[in-house]
Amino acid sequence: MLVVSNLHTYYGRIHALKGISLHMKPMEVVALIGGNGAGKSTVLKSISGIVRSASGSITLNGDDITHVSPEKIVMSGVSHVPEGRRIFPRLTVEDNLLLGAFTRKDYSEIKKDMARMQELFPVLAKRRKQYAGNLSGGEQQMLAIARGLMSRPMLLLLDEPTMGLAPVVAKDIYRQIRYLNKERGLGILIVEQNARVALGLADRGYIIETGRIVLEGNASELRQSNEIKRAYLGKDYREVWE
Amino acid sequence: MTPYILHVGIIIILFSILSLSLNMAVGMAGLVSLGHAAFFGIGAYASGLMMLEGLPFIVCLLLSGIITSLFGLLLAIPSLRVKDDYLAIVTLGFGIITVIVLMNMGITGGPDGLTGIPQASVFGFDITSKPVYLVFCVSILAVMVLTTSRLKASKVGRAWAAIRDNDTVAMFMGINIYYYKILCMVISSFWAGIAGSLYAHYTGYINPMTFGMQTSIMILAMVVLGGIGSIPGSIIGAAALVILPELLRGLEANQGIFYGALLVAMMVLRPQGIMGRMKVTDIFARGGS
Repeated sequence: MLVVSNLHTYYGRIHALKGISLHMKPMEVVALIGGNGAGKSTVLKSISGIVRSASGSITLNGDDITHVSPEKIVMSGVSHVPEGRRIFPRLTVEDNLLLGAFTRKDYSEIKKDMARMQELFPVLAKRRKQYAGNLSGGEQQMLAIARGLMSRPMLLLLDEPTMGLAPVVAKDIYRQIRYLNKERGLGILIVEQNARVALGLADRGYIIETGRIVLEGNASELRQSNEIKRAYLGKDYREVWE
Repeated sequence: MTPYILHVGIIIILFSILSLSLNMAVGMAGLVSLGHAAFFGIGAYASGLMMLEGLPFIVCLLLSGIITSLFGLLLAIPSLRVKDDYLAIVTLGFGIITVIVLMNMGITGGPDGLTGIPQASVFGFDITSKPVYLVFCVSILAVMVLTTSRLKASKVGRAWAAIRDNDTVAMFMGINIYYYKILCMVISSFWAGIAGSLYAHYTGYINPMTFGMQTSIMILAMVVLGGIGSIPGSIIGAAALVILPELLRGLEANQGIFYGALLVAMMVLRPQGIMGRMKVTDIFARGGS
């Protein structure tokens, strides 16, 4: 479905992505794992057209979308849920959802989707008329995901969806993500610092370090990889590695 | 009603159109403009010059709106690539340049301005008497309030609000932020131009100094005082800042001190303005996205 090949992206003179290549099959969950500043978010931003890549290519279902405008990329079925729960704080929950469907014109279907989102995330139904900025962190994240789904994507780009959330809430978010993949057939590219959780969820994973993919494979293999255990799964694994 | 009260009423309506038009940019789309009076001036001069050429008032009124919106477009195309504080500086520069151009061009009468602008009539009816002109201005403001509130509740208004709240995330939603920002500037400057035309035909005389920094700041103060992003707030803010100096007139030399002190007190006690939900710092001087 998605093929990224040899992508180079710069922020001014900073070489953020140094030849990233990855691919995704339809309905697959792929995790992109790495530390701060590794370039994880930049990969997502390049795919959704927010950041222009210097060279390399991105194709979606065979169509080149490397230099396509963000709105056309949304229309072709990619939805990006930005990190840090960036909802529109001074707009109501309802308006936030409507903005997720901004590129669509099938108004009666948008209405139905609004109702579906409120079924999927019942908290949003209760807070429909409230300003999104007044929601709790977990609710804001659910709103951000629901808003992302409003464009009816086939590929969802999730940037650190559980960052700063309580473990219980994070678990709930992950349950929803799994549901969206299994029941709705949504392809999901998820960026995470928490390798354990991400690899528990994903079919495959890529490890990214300073703008390069250093390791890739099935999630189960990666979970067993000693290198991953040492670098990303915490000190409990040190003995195993050493 | 005495002519004096009618006069104050007309000025309130004209400034209501101006502050609502600025609020469209600042409050609805988050585009900070410090040179809004320039659009007011362009509308006034365009209308005055066309009417001196013998065009009927109603044509001048509409054309001055359209001409001013073209200037809005010209300013928007290069300058909306920058945002927030930078946009404020660009619009500040635009405001200053406009006054200088008006001061130095032959056709605009230089520093002396334009005199003898024919007064307004609509389809042969004279509307120059103060009560009639007040009704005429109120009906134009009504049209503006109606279209603006429709716009605010529409998809366009939602796009503007998204851009105001976070323009990067607006891009994530598939909103062409550049297009919607330009659209906002064009509509906003259209209405400022209309206000200019109404002003020119009301006073019959215009000069460049009316459209300088002071007026831009005054309009912005009306927006902030009334409430950023609020339509009724724009009108209340305009009314308050037109009436206040009139009430304080008896204080003579001390007028400015009281006027300033009242504004400061207002902003301390109610930073979101009379009708608004947003503080000044939500729009100005906010951090990056």
